This record gives sequence, structure tokens and C-alpha cells, in this order.
Amino acid sequence: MSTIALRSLWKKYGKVEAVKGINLQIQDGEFFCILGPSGCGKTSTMRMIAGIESITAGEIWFDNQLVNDLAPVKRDVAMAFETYALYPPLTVKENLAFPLEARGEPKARINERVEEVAKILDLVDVLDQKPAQISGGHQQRVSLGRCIIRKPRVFLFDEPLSHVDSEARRKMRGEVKRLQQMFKTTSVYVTHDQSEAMALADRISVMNLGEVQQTGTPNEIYHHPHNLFVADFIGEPPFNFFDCSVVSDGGQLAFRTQVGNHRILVPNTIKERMGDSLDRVLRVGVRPMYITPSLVEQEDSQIHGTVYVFEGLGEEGVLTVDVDGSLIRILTEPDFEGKPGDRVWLNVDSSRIQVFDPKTTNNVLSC
Amino acid sequence: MIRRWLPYYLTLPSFIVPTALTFAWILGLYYSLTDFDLRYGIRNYLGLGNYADLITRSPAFWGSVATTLKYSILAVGLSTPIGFAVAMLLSQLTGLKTRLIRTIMMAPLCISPVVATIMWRIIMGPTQGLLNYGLNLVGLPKLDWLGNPGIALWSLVIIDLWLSVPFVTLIFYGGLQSLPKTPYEAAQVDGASRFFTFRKLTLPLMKPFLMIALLFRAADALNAFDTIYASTKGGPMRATYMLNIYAYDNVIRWKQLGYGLAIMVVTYLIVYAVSKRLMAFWPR
Amino acid sequence: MHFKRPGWGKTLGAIGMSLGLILVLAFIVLPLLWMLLMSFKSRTDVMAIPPKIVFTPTLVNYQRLFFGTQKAGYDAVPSDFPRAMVNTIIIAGGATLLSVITGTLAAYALARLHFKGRDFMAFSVLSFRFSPALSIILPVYAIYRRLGLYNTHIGLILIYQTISLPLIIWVVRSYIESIPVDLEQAALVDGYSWWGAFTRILLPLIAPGLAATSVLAFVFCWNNFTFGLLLGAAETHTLTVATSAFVSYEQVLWGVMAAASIVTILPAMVFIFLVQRWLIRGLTFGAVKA
Repeated sequence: MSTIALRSLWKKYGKVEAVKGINLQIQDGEFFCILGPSGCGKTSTMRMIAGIESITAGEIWFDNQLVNDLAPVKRDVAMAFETYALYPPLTVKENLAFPLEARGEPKARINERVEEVAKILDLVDVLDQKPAQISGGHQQRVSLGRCIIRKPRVFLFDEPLSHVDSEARRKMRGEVKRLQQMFKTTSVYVTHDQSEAMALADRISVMNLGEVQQTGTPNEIYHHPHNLFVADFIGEPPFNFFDCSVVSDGGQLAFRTQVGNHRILVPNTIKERMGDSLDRVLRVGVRPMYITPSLVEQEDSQIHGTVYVFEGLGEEGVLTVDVDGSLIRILTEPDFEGKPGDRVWLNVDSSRIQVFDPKTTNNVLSC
Repeated sequence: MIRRWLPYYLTLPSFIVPTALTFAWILGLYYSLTDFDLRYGIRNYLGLGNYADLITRSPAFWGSVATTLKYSILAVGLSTPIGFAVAMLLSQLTGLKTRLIRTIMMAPLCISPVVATIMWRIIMGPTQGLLNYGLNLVGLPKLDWLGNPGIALWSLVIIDLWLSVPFVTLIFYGGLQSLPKTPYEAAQVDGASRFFTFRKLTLPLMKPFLMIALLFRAADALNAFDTIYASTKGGPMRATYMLNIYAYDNVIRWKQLGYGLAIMVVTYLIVYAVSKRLMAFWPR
Repeated sequence: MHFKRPGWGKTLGAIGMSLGLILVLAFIVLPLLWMLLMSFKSRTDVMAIPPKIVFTPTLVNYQRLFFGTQKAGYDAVPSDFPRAMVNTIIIAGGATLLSVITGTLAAYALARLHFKGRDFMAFSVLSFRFSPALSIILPVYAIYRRLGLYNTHIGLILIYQTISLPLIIWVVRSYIESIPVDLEQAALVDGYSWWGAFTRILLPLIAPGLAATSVLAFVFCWNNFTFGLLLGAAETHTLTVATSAFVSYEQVLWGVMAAASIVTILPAMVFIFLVQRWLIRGLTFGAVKA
């Protein structure tokens, strides 16, 4: 069990700056996700925590210990690799036993632990086979088994589910969470799949281009994204954005879209903030579930467009609307009756909007 | 699978040369069953007579078998671990150094064994050779590398090492480079010492390459001829008298083609047997 | 094994490793350097005891090699060497060319076509590598004498196939096998004949590997000794045989012998240097296939 602190951590590959002075504080026993697109620096960060990648500058602390110069083995971490990294010439049993054998544990104890872990992860049937002979799902579980067999201080997961097919992925996701809660070990989980991060993490750190964009609980990140990147990255379907200027409509402040002249009322909660932003161009964002479509013009309809396509997905539906050339995605009931080309009117729940400055990309409301 | 006959007609002719060579080999086999003398041609069919003679009435044969085996065990037994060690060292390097060293390593591969042997003759010269000069400098006595029956075989092994270690190194190097890298990172995290990782991970993964190296080396060592002919020709006092030299002498010096070929067949059988034995260890 | 991370590899080990590598490199390079030096030494310098490292270089040995005379008994005859050079170029070049043409076709047949005895053919081609060269040469010697192929360029080109053909077939076969058949099948669907598919699709893909391997085959032929020795005479001597002929004049012609060796080595080294990157890949590539 350990806290992890990253202080001004840098990683450069030659001239390329992969990680640019990030700061993170991970609590003891926490399930912490580092989320971001490919190339954002998340894997480099994790590898530095593990000790298999050298640190260009900055510090990594485990509790009160500076671990910069410690070999991986001394840091007492366990890592599940994206490609599983199983030992090809060894059987599953030997793969699981490897970490313990490497540390000179007595044979009897090793066998005991291997049996335990095999039972927890349902690997009993494949113990005598080699990695090349078992399925991807099994391989993934062996990778996890190798992690937990040692009871380390920290679990590190490097996109362990990215090569698992979606059916198994959802199942495995639950397994990973279960394991972490079983052992209450501090865990750092790297992924590019935002729904995975949202489902698993106690807290998430969103990274892009080597920098931390925002750190917070899934809730905070979802509802109060700090900038356009986070807003756009989290949530599926993602935020819908409208470039607007603030206008005064007979005493009422409203966001007037640059294209199409639609109006979204500025809610009372943020009226003061918007008061001094007249004629400033802002980017207004609304999540798909906070827009209500109607095939008939309503009194409070704010935006109108034409149906582009409707996808009925069983439990819900995704309606894509063409509003002056831009596509807006809306979550609806599964039985919406619009057809491509139909006119549709949209009502936006103003209390749920987020406002961003297109130039700084920051959330105007949270700063 | 492509249209039927045309490709066969066009590609199978290219098997003519290998087929002809196989035929020559079989012919050689036949000749070994006769008393083919280069002066008189074939006079009698001897069946296994030549072979019987070899086994029972030819101390030179058994001597050459012993020498060949001794040489081969030394050559293979030394070049393989050394090549492996050098390959491991090489794979620890990065960048420019690797390319440079690799290029240097390839030099012995481009050189005819005969030319290399000549080169070593110069260096191993008893009076003017560089080696003895070096020994002298350090206070050690000069050695008659190729003229002393006790040392001559070892000198040949040294020459063989010069020629073969680069080859073995390159095979193992290619092998090491082809190994997956992430299991090694996992091993680091799992806390395995270098030696433990080597024993449990590298060695088993390198088995196929080890097999290749051993097969080639064994065959080359057992079939050695060029280097011996160019240096000692089997001497001094038969210290380096190997099977191929024995066969050569029989055919060229004593004109006994049939007998010489019998020796060759036996050599081939030995190589075949050794290869088979080695293949049994193949990890399939 | 790539351990350049914190904790693995202490400086002491690093020094030991460098030392080991340096020793190995010295072992390889020093003899070559020495021979190079020797080829530039005058007759007296060559014989000097202790061996001279500093001396005035001279081209006398090379001159002797190409323009000078050599002793045959007590007569002086023009040096054999230039002719040996021409011979080697013709024979090694011809053998390689023949092997490339027939070998590539054979490799194609082995890789893509299914016919009875395919594995047997593959095995027998490979087994030439493991048989003593003499076991082929000796019966061939008898045959050649009868057919009048003894001491001819053609005869040698044919027998040199034992060296170059297995190599080419083996490596090219594994190259072809590593390329998915789909490409050629797509070409067939588009209307090409199998020959068209072969020349337009397959050949360009294997060209670099093939080129590198042919260079290697050429070098092996260039360096061969036994075939030239036993199946050729004065007219068809190869460089290796000509160089070894100096051996009988031990006391006198070390310098010329060194020069001859350098000349024999140089072209091969240049070629190998040019294609070395592919060779490592090819060596292990083909190796595992066996």
C-alpha cells in the first residue's frame, strides 16, 4: 500500500517531449486512471513509475521514499502489460510462479499461491499450457495473475484490455475492479478508452500532449470539464458545441449562434459571469442527453434543423441532426420517429451547458 | 494454387543441377563399392570390401577418425559458447558502435578459409611470426604452432575459431534481436535477476538458434579440409590427419578412388548421425 | 536483452564487457592488419626478426603479382595471378548467375507449388551443405575427365552450383513463403498469367533480399578452394588456388603471398560490406525455417 506522488515529471526522447512536467498525487488504495489519446504521454508516465523507463527530470515518490533511482524490483510494483508480455517458453503455471521464484520463495509456498491465484482468475484448466496455446482472454488473465501473485505495493495496468474483444472487455473490466477492491492496492490504470476510465476509476487524470488537462473524480470531469479537450474527450456521444456570441434580447441574456441565428437562453446561475461578455465569441457545449428533440415546433424550442440519421440502439436512440451544416448528436428514447430530412426542433437544458473560450480553450465557468 | 502444367515444366528444369549432383553422389557411393583405381579404372566389384578394410586393416583410418572427432569437439565446443557470449555483448550496445562492430565481425566471413589459413601461417611462423614475437615480449617461450605435433591441432582450432566465431555470433545476434522485448520488461518488474532471466527466458528462447549453430558447426568441423590442406596437410606426424585428408591422399596420391570414396561415405555417415542426434533436441 | 535501465548493469560489469569485446575485435582485426602491412614490405623487411611494425612501404609485391614472373622449376614464366583473377570472376560470376536463375525458379516451385517429392527435393538440396565437398568432387572428377569437362570454365561453373544453389534456394524459398499468396492470386484474377504474377508482383518484392543473397553466394564461390584445386588445372586456376600456390615457396615469397591474399580478400569484403544489413536478417530468417 502506498501513495504515489509525481513532481514536475519530465520525459524526453531526444528532442521529443513526451511528458512535460506533470504533477500528480495518488492516494493510498485509490484506483487512479490516466486517460488520454495515443501519444499523450500516459504510457511513458506509467513506465517511469514502474522503473522500466528512465526519468529525464522530476521526482517520483512512493510514500516518503524517492524512488527515482530504484530498480523496478525494489519499488515493489506489479505491472500488467498491454501485450501481456507473458514468458513464451514457460507454462502458465511457471509464468505465474516466476515473480515468486525470482525472489527465492520456497517451493511449497509458490505452489500454494499459484493455486490460489489460478482459482481466483479461473485459470486452473490451462495451467500446463504455454502462452501461445491459450486464448487471448486467458493470456490476459495470466497477465493479471502474475500481478496479483506477489501482493505488491502498487498495481500498474498499461491498457490491459485494449486487445480484448468488446464482449470480453466488459466482463474483464468488472474483474479488474473486483481484484483491486479485493486487495485494496493502490492502482494506476492507463487507458485511451474513456468509458473504461469512467467506469473503473476513483479519480481520473486526463492527459494530452504530455500535459495533465484535468484531474478529478469521474463526476467532476464529466460534468465540469476544465477545457475543450476534456469536454470533447469524455462522454460518448461527445459534447455538442455551438460558437455563439452573447446578446441581450430584451433584458434576457442569450447565446446567439454564429451560424443560423439560434438562441439559447443564458440560465440565471451564470448570468453575472456572462454580463460582461457581450459580443465576445464563446463556445457553448451541451451533452447529448440534455437536448430534447421534437418533430413539432415547441414554445421553448431554441434550435431547429433537419434529421440526418436516427440509430435505434435498443435501450436508447442516437439522433443526429443537421443544424446549418453541423451535426448535433442527441440521446433519445429508442422509438423516435423522425426520418432523414424531417424538420426537428431542439430544446436545450440551459442549466447543463458549459461555456468555453475558444481561444484559451478553458471553461469560462470553472475558472 | 495456379494453373496446372506450365509452371511445372518451367521450374522443374531448374532442378536438373541438384539432381545431377545427387546422381554424382550416388555414383560416388557406387564407386566406393569397387576398387576403382585412377590408373586402371574399375577391375572388381568389392561390395563392402573397402569398408571392411577401413575398419579392420587401417590404423590410419581410426587415427583420422579420432583426430577428426577431437578437432570437431574442440571447434564446436569452443566456438558456440564464445559466439553466444559475443552476441550477448553485442546486443547490449546501441547505435553506431553496433554497426561498426558488426561490420568488423563480418570480415572473416568474406575470406576464403584457405587465404585465412595462409594468413595465420604467417602469424604462426616459428621464427618471424607475430604470435611468437608477442609471446617473447611478455617473457613466454616461443611455440612451434604448426610444427609441433602436440600443439598443431590446437593451432588449427584457433584458425577455425577465427573463421567461425563471427558466423556463430551473427546467428545468435540475429536470434537475440528477434526476441520479444516486453517479457524482459516484465521480468524486470517481477524482480528477476539478470542471471535468472537469462536461464529461464533467454536460453529456452534461443534453442532454435543454438540448434542451427550447432548443426552448421558440427558439419563444417567434421568436413574440414581446406584449412588443413593449406597448412599442415595432415602433419606433423599425422597430428592433424583428418578423414578428408586421408581420403584426399588416397585418391590423389595413391590413386585409389574407390577406397577414398569409401572414406568419404563414412564421413558423411558420421555427419548424418551427429546431425540426427542434435535434431533430437529440437524444441518442436 | 536490453537493460539500460536504472539498477541493471554496474560499471564494473560494463568495463568487463568492453574488455571482452575489444579482445574479440583485436583477435579478428590484428591478423588482417598484419597481413596488409606485410603485403607492403620489401623482401628484407618481411624476413626481419623481430617483426617490424614500422617500415617503408613498397609496392614491389603487388607489382610482382601482376606484372612479374614466377618460378616454375628454374624457369621464369609470366605470373599466373592476373589470369587467376579473370578465371575467378568468370567462374564465380557465372555460377552465381546460373544459380540465381535456376535457384529462384526452383525456390518458387518449392514454395508455391505442391508436387510429389517436394520435401525430398528440399531436403536433398539442403544436404549438399552438410556433405563433405570431396564426396561430390571425387566422382565428378572421374566423370569430368571422361566428358572432357575437366579444367574448363563451364565444368567449374556447374560444380560450383553445390555452393551457390542451396543457399539461394533456401533463402529465396523462405522469402517467398513469407509473402502472402493473396498478392499473386489478386494478379491472376486481374488477368495476369502465373509468369506475369511472378515477374511483376513477386520478383520486385524479393529483389533486395535476392540481391543480397546473390552477393553472398558470389562471395562463397569466390572464396572456394577445393573445387578449383581438384577440377581445374593451370588454365582455370582460381584466385584461392593461385594464392595457395605461393605456399610452396615459403621462405622466399611471404610478401607476394600476403599481397595475393589481400587482392583475393578485397572484392569479397567490399561486396559484403555493401549488403551486410540484409545478411543478418537473411541468415537468421532462413535459419529458423530449416
